[in-house]
Amino acid sequence: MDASTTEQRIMNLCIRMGNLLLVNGGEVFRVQETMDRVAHAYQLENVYLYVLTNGIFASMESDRHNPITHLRCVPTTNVHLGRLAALNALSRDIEQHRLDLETAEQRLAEIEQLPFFPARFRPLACAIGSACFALLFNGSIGDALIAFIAGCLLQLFAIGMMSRNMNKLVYYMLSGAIVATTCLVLTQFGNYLLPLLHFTMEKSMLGGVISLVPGIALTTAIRDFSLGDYLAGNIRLLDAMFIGGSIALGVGLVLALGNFFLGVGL
Amino acid sequence: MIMTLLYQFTIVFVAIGAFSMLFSVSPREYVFCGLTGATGFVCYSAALMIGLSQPLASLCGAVVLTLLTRILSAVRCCPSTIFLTAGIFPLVPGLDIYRAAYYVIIGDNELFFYHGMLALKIAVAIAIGIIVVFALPNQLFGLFHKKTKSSAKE
Repeated sequence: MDASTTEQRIMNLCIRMGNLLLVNGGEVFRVQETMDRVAHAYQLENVYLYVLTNGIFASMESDRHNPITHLRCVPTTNVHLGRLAALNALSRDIEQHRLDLETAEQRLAEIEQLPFFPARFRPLACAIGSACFALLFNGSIGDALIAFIAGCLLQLFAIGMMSRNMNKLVYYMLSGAIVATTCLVLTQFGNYLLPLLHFTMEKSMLGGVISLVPGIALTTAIRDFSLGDYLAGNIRLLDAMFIGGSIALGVGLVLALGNFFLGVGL
Repeated sequence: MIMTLLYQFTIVFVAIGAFSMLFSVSPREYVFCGLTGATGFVCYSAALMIGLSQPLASLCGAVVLTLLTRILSAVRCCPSTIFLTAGIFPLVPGLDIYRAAYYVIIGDNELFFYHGMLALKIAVAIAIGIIVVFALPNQLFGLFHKKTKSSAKE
């Protein structure tokens, strides 16, 4: 009886770590590897894992009649790379330094409590990043300024929507529309008031939108494919394509309206 | 040319530093995230300057980026995802995806197809670069591993 509860705890630790990795942006193979390592480090035999982009199936058969099975559905991800690093360190310590179960559970609880980057600085960080990208695409100072404002608004919108359970595609569509509207309107005003700065809508729009682009999802999908995780790769690829499509739709809608009513070109 | 590259390096460094905050990277790694991304992009940019096509230049950028990512992940004892996630931003073919979407709206199918295909080629080139470098054996990067025991209890 005692042995089986220890096994339960190890399995619990395992699945919690895997779950946390997946939620915070870990790749499928990393989740699989980490869970495997932790199980092996605690001498758990016959552990079977199947990890997808949005779910974990794990089962352990120590005795034939009572297999322990865990299932986790991970529908949403909220990337926190600091937790990812901490979990990585934890699994390494478990493997190399034979941490006992108590300490490992305690450290996992600490990792779960690691705070996100404070919300009040998020708009500023996003704005700076967006402005820099506008400059990188050969935008003028004016474009960078507009991208700065767009990035700031984008994060404010994201923070406002965090607690509401909004449809993901609608969220990305609205985000794209916000950036497009900001850039379109400000570029028109800017070119009217300060023509010396040479505002080009394309540059500021790209800078504003880049923080939304699912580039990582796309490359991770192809990496998943290369490792043989076709299903996980497909989920990731579809996700990337739908997000990209939603952003494009939001931006495109505003552009089409601007084209129709104001006669604004690219 | 050198000045342009330096200018781009600085901009990307700042941009990626800022974006890595959005991903809640631990503050100790901000500089390293910026460094990987900026180096990768400068390689891409330099490859474009000497006349390589965009997908090929992206491949160069991705290979350098991933190499640096793996070295840093060994040195800093951090998962490579951190540096890769932040560093890949400037290489992503955002411009072409945007233009492809724009031409769909405008109704210019030819230009849509051109930019869409280019974006796809660049994405595949980046992925190939990443896959190839990740296929290199771990021992190669073990040289960079810090031989300390400080990570035991922290």
